[in-house]
Amino acid sequence: MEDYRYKWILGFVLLLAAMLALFMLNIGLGSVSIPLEDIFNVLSGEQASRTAYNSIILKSRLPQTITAILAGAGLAVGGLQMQTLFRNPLAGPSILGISSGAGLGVALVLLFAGNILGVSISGYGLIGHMTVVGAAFVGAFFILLLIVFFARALRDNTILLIVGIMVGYAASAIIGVMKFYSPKEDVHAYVIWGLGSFSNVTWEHLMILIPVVVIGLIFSLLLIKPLNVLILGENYAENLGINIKKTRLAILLCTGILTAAITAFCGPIAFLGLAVPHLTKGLFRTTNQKVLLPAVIFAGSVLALFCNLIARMPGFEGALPINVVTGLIGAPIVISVIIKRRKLNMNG
Amino acid sequence: MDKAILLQSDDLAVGYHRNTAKELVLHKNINVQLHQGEFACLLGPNGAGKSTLIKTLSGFIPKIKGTIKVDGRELHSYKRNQLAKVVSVVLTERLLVSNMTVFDLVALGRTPYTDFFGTVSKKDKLKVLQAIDDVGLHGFANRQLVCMSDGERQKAMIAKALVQDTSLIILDEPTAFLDLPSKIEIVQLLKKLAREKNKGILLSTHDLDLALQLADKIWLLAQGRQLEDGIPEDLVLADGFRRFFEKEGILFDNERGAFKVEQEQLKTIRVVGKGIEYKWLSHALNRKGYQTTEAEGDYPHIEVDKTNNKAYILHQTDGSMHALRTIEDLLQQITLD
Repeated sequence: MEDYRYKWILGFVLLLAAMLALFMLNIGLGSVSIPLEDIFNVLSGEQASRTAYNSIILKSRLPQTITAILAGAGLAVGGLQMQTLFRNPLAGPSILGISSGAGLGVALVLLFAGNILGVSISGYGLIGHMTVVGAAFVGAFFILLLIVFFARALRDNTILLIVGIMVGYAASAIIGVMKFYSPKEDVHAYVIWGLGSFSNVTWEHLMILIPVVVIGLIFSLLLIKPLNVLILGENYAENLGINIKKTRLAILLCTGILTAAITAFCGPIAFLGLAVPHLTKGLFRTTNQKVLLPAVIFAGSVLALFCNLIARMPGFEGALPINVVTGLIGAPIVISVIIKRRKLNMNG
Repeated sequence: MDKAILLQSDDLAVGYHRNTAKELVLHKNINVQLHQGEFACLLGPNGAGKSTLIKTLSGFIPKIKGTIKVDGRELHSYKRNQLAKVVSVVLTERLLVSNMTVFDLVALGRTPYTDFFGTVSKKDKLKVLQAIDDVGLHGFANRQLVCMSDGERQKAMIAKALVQDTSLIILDEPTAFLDLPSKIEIVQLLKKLAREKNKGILLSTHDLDLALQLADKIWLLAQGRQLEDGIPEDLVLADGFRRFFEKEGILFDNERGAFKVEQEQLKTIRVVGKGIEYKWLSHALNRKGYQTTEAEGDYPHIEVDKTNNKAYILHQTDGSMHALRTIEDLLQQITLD
């Protein structure tokens, strides 16, 4: 037991160090490189050697970095919760169609409004962006409510999972129809939203995103005990005194709120939520949520910061969409997990 | 010594509420008791409704009629967390979670007693380690579940049930996917635990042999029949097993306490001898469709000669004689003639 604990502490120290380093790199690197000294100056509220640095850091890079941290942490927690609840290693925060719901909301605004009402929201700048965020939020919550409704009616988790995936497919299908009948520019705007981005989030947005994600994370900490027991499956959990339906509802709401908020502001971020719990379990080698939950919060932030950094590497000039990067990093992780599981099954 | 009744059902009916209007009753009029220190086996063929009864008794599904009393109190009057301290379960399902150790698993059994975050105290830790020892997994605390055999994993599950500190442990076919030695080990362990820890243990199984040899009490259940209970020997004498398990061509041998397959026995053969060789020779002959007898008559006879390097001497009706070393050779010789 004791050497485990030592390993865990080491893991947390590593993650924290990586997070700090990546935080600084995210602020310092980009199309304009900013020296470390200036970063400290700006962050402590003083003037940098060049005034441009102040505005680059405060207006663009700092909110972007904070967004990446929040999104990474929130999605990773959602992924861990879904994987534990459904006892399925391939579940992620968007498995129940919540991000498809957000997409549906955005599609309704970008495509449908453009088509029927003749207004192209994509051309409206900031107001347009807020409308998109609102629509995504409403869409995600609509699907979340639908899932919660099913969760109350269904006892079996596997069936709930299938229903959730089907709801996601249905939402995607409706989006497909709308795309088909929409003008090119609107479809393009939708595609861009769908590629995800941490850079469209302003301080005003963060005033909403920060509290929602923080509340979601605190909420998730309260679910540590039931999640730990759910590893044994619903029957054992129930016998150990866990109220399955209530717990399931709480978990769905927690993941739902986190995913809805993050997807609304950043677009659907693929793979992060699925891959981070696997990475973390590989690092910490435990099923104890008391260790795993804080660990995925840090690991999620680290991976999101890393992806954001790559997306902004010199040469890409900030043009690389975040989903391309998360996908390229996430896909190999998912593949290795599947292969590892196969090996395990063959051995036992 | 009068042991307390831990589990008691009166006029119990079990089944499923398909919807509020329609009920599907599988069994009714169930009146059973389980005492402290008693190891009972709920025995029945697959599809008899064992699982439904087990699930009802452990509080997973609601009963349809009657009463269930656990520790002298109505089952449904317990709150979820109270019930977790009175009844623990072990189920058939295989638990394959990577990165989980035996200790982690068994410690989850303390859930009803731990704080809001599920912190395992020093006292809990000692209990967990003790339970791991009790089920014979000493030194396995830090072993990964995925690196253990199915039997060892079920033992860990039993340890989980032990640390739950319940007076009653209910197991739903925990040995269904285990090989025979592991089955025997688990059932023996349960019997021992019932006695030593003074718990009431109820196990459902379709393994008649094991139940017959180890159970203090047997509850017999079959589709469309009234549950019958009693100690194994009484049930045999009352023809209970015959009535519950009989199918065409399969007969429960009340003398041997095992099944035998009814076969057409065309020819008679006389067997003379004693001891284990005699017993297995008769077994082989019966299997091949011969009726064995010790009486003399107009048929071949076999002598089991233990002195002469375990030879079997076959005397044919025509007077010819063959000495054979194995039963296999003997059977071959008989069919040749």
